[in-house]
Amino acid sequence: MRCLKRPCLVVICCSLALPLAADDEDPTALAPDQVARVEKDLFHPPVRLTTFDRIIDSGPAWGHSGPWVEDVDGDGVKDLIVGDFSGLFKLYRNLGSNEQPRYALAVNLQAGGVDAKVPIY
Amino acid sequence: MDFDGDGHLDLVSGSYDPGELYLFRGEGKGKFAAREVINDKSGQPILRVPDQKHRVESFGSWMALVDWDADGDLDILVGTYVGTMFLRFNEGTRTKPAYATENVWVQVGDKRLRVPGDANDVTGGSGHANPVIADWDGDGLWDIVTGASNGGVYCYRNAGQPGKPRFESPIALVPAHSGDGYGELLEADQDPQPGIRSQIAVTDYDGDGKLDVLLGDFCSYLHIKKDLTAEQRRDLEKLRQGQDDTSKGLREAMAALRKQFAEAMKGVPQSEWHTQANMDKWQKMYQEMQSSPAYKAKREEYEQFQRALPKFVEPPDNNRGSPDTPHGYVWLFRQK
Repeated sequence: MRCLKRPCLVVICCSLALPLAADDEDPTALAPDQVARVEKDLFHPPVRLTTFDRIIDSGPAWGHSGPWVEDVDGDGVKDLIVGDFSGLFKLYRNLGSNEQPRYALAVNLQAGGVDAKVPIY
Repeated sequence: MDFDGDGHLDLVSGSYDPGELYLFRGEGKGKFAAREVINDKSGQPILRVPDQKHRVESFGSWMALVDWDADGDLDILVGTYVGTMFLRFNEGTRTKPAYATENVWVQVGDKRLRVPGDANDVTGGSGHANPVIADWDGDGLWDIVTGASNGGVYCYRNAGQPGKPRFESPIALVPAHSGDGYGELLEADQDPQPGIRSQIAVTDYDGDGKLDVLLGDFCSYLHIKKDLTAEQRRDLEKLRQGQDDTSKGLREAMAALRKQFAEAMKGVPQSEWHTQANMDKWQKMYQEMQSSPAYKAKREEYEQFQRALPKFVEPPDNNRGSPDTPHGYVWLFRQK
């Protein structure tokens, strides 16, 4: 979380890491892939997922939402799991159906009796 | 994902720092065991730089499980911070995995895959490869779909055969975000757009038989005050232009420094770039850049812009000391 406050500082922070990033060739010298084509009109306009009363937003944890859907609690409908920059995983239980999910307020996913967490910094 | 074929749902995850991969073994009914590191068959963590000398070398990992070679077990596919992807083949079984000690890099043709970036970004703008496996085009072969640092979503179509995947150049399913993701201006009545660093899930979300994309993002916004006069708006625009130019100058300085470091390391194997002596060299170069009058002037200019912004934007709903508010939404892209 350190120094992730302003754009230039983020760039500096990330850049400090980049010279340290090594493959057997310099990955930063490897050109990004060129896009062959851009799909048009593939999706409906995107919408933000919500719980009962609010838009799901990992902003307070510095964002970086990482979503996944699985039937975590074994009730037959897929729940939503969202990782974020805190390293925690928010579990949104699906109280609706697979076709029309309705998500409960988030709880931290538990593992080994504590909050499941991965290192971020 | 059932990591070990025991019939229970497990949770797997990559990480930023140190980039290790983690497993939370499922115990059924939503219960998970404590975190464990996913190691290779020699007991070493699976990392982008297996013989790393410094923990930051493997910074940033995103993992997916796939039976790459169609031998009946699950191999690990890892996306990296710099946008490449590598495999660790499972040399064990579905229920007792034993992962190879060597990385095998994913290729597009004869070139190593690196997710698309922003051509205008002086840093290369490519990274945050977070692959998921899905048969996007429904041809019976799984494809790689991935998010990226630029916020886009890309499909690398598998045009190979079962057990012998071959990937075509990426198709953009979701275009890249148009801004840099930090301090973007938002009118009071304006909805945000999907941001940068897309992290995705691919699933038939609405049960209509078509695959959809869930996209997690990051973006920070400056919420413009409602009652700005026309003159204040012009001032804000001018301020932002100046800030963008200054920010670009700072990024260019960093890009130049990295290049300079790479040149200084010419002939030195990359595995030696992180010795204490070379790290000291990098630090010295970095400090020299920071203390140069030109860089300091740019920094001061940038700070001035930051200090002027609160006149034009709503106070952030946090106390980070920065005028922007970070967000991380989950966007549903429902396929038509």
